[in-house]
Amino acid sequence: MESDSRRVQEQADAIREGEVAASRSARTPLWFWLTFAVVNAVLVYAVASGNVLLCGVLAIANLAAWRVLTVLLDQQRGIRIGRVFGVPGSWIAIPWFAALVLLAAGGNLLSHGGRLVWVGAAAALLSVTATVAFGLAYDRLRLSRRTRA
Amino acid sequence: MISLDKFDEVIHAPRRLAICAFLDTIDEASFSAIREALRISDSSLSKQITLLVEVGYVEVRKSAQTGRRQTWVRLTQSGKKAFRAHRAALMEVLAEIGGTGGA
Repeated sequence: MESDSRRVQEQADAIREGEVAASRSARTPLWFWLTFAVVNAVLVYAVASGNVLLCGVLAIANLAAWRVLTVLLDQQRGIRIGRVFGVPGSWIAIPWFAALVLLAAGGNLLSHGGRLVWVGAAAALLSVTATVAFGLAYDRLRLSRRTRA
Repeated sequence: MISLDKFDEVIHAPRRLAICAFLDTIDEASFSAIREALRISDSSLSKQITLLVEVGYVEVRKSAQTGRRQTWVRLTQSGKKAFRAHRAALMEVLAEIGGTGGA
């Protein structure tokens, strides 16, 4: 009886060890969000400062940056994360891209077609802050969901 | 009386359970990532993975990205099913004995 209890406890500890180790290893480092934020900020600044045609570049660069950074991250961590919240993890780039387009378009309107340079700079700064804050919150939520499942 | 009948005889060993728990929360992991995260020796990890591959709970594939050969390991569907069933059985037993394992 006592050995059974010990065995059960050992198994519970082993599962916890595996889950905690996965959670620690799967954490996204800050460089990932910062690099992504800088790519976004440059394009948001350009669009908000009057270059509306750059919207297409914004779309391609955003998705390409996400893809390249994800591959680099997988290589560095030695871990691949497939589905997050029931959908492929890369889908997060879609709503994020839509938010950036809104931010850039809003900045473009407020800067009167790029005449007010500070609006573009503010939009770029906002996109950096939002990307990093969003990334850290998303990562925390993803890991807590994963280890609780 | 604790009943351990529902426990999976292949993955009940603590090392194998930790490996399955690690792989269940992600999609795929490299051999070295598992080794470092769980602080297991090369030989021990290799032995456990070979055993899990033999029963079809784990799949292994080799890749040679950026010129470096890497071994990637993932839980198969039957591996996920077996691990989750084992985990559920364990939770039941823990609830019975009022354990605080928190797995």
